[in-house]
Amino acid sequence: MADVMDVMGLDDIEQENTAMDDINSETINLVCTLIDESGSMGGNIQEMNYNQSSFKDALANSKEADEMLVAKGTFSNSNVVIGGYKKIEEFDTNYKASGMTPLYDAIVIGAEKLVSYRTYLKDQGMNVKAVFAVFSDGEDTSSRNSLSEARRFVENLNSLEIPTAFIAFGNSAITEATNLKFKSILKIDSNTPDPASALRHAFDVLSKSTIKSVSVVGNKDSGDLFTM
Amino acid sequence: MLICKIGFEHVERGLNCQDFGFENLEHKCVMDGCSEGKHSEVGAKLFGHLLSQDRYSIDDIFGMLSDIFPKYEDVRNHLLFTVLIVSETKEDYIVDICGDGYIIKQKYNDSIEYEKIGEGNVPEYFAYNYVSPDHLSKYKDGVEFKRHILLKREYKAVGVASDGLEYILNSPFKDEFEKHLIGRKEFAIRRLINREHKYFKDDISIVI
Repeated sequence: MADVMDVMGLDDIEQENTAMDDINSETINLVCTLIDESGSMGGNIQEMNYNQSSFKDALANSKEADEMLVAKGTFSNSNVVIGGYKKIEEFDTNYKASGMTPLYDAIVIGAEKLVSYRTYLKDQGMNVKAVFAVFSDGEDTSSRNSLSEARRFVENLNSLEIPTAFIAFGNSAITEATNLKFKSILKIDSNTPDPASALRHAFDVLSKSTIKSVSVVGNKDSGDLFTM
Repeated sequence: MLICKIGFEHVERGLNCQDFGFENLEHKCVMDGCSEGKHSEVGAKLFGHLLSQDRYSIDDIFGMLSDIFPKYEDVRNHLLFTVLIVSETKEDYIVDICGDGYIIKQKYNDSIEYEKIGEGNVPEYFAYNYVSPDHLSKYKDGVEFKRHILLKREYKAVGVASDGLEYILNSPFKDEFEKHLIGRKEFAIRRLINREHKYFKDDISIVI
């Protein structure tokens, strides 16, 4: 994967994410959200804008907010842009949609960055938990990485007991999420009478599940993020 | 700033953290439960909880605790703990200690002095006053708190720590610890202890 992302040095990791001196805690929860901005998601722009704001508010108003750092990644065409892990107040809720779907690349880069920062924080004496969530209508159409490569990264997250969640817009995405070995899959059915409501429900479940996931100490359940 | 962290050996042996501490407007206080007591954190935490309410004297609290744990074996397993308390007057820091531990003194030039209390002695646990002398090989005449008075004109701040601090002071990380202590970087100290936990075998409580 060296052609996708160079190995980062420690200074780079601090610079890109939140510096250790700015973390007033010994416990931190990393939340990675990868959001599909390909053209096929175009029908969801208004709802994605609205629901990202609600998601941000829910996390920001939770009592765990001070112990949470959130990274937002977006992907379309051959562009995968994954921001650093920052306080939830800095979460960008803007949404646009055009182009193709480099889903596997986003997963590979997002997972790699999550594991790198998690390792860095642990090496500094932090207690770290994490959540990895993808919003996409699949299928992958423009990645350089293969399905098997992306699956390897998801399986690595699963083996590290990092909850992996896929919010799937339609049946193609369900197939992708299943093949990628995501532990938790939530379907947004565009054929339901009220898809906006279904999307709202998905964000609501994700925010509640994320808060629950990061707030339960010693949780040794099956790894399924969606328990509501 | 209050730090209370479990020691590595306690984790390895499946023991609870037997230290406890609190700070309020009146007191800064740490308790260190005797590792030979099976549940000495119980007494240490009850004592700390009651003292932090500023409603009871030390004698009142031990009176209540000895009612709960009246037998010699109960006292040995639950009530043997060191107590270190810092309070202040306008001109002085007053440190009352029964047992062992450290006084931490920060001068106005930010240099730090550590005074070890009770070195080499069997700790003087206040609960010995509530046990028949027949059960004691030392301190049969009872034990008392020892008072140390430090002048505010000499010291910018005074705190106390349990004897687990010695593992930090004797480690390669003493300078890093001291830098964070001077800056009152509570979480940096906590992370240092997490990061190098194997060095820190005993529970560590620090309040300053």
